[in-house]
Amino acid sequence: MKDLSHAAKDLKSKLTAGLNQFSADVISKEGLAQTGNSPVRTGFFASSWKAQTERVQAKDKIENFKPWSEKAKEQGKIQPVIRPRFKAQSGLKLQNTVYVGSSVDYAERAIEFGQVQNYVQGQGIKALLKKSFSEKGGRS
Amino acid sequence: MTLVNARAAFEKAVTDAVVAADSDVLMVYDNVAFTTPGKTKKYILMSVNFGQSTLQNQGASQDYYSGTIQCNVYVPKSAGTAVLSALSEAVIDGLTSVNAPGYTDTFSSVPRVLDINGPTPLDLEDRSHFVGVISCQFTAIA
Repeated sequence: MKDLSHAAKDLKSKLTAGLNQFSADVISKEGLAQTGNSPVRTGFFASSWKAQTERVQAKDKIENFKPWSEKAKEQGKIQPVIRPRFKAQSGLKLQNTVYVGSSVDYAERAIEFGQVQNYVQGQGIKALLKKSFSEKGGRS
Repeated sequence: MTLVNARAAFEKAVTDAVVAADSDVLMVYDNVAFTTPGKTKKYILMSVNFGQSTLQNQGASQDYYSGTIQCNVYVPKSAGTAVLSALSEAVIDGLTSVNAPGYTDTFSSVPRVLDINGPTPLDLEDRSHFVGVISCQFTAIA
C-alpha cells in the first residue's frame, strides 16, 4: 500500500518546479526567443524577454547593446542575432504572480504584428505548459 | 468544410458588425493584397492564423481547426479615442456573434471564439493613427 501522507507536499513541490521550469523555458529559445514567436528584425526584442515577479519595464535602448546596435545600422537584409539576455527569476513560488515581458523600449510596437499573441494563445505555449507541468516534466 | 469556410465565417461576422456600426470603416484582410489606407482613413486589419487542422481520434482524423484571430483597429488621431473604443466594441460584438444561440452558420463550419483579449491601445508618437489590438483563439469543426 502506498503512503499518501506526503501527497500534498509532493504535489506542491512538483508544481513549484513546473512553474520555475516554465518561466525559464518561455523566455528561452524554446519559447519566445525565436523567430515566429516574436517579431524579429535585429533580434534585440526576441533576446530581451524577462520572467519575474515585478512588472517588466520596457526601457532598454537598442543603441546601448551590442551586437544589436550595429545590426540596427545595417542596410538591406539583416542577419538577426537572437541570444537571450536574461535568465528567469529563480525561486519562484506558486503564490507569486509572474510577469513575462520584453525589456526593449519599443516593446509596445511589437504586439501590433501578432506573433506574440499567436504564440501565447496558440499551440506553442500549450506544448511548453504540458512539458513543464506533466508528470515527467519539471525539475524535482 | 475547408479552411476558406472557417476564415470566411469569422471575417463575415466581424465585417457585418463593423459595417453596421460605421459604414466609413475599411476592412482589410491579411489574405488579400491591399495598400495601406491613408492617414485620414479609419480601417481594421483582420488576420486569421491557423494553428491546428485535425484531431486524431480513434479511426479517421477529424477536421478541427483552431488558431488565433487578430484585429488591429486604426483610427486617425484627429478622430479621438472614442471612435477607437466604438469600433473595438463592434469588432468584439462581431467575434462573439458566432457564439450566440441564434447564429446562422452560413459556412457550415461551427465557428466559435474563446476569451477575447484587448482592445490593447497603442498610442505611438510617430504614427498618424491610434491603434487598438484585439485578439482571441477560435475553433471550427467540419
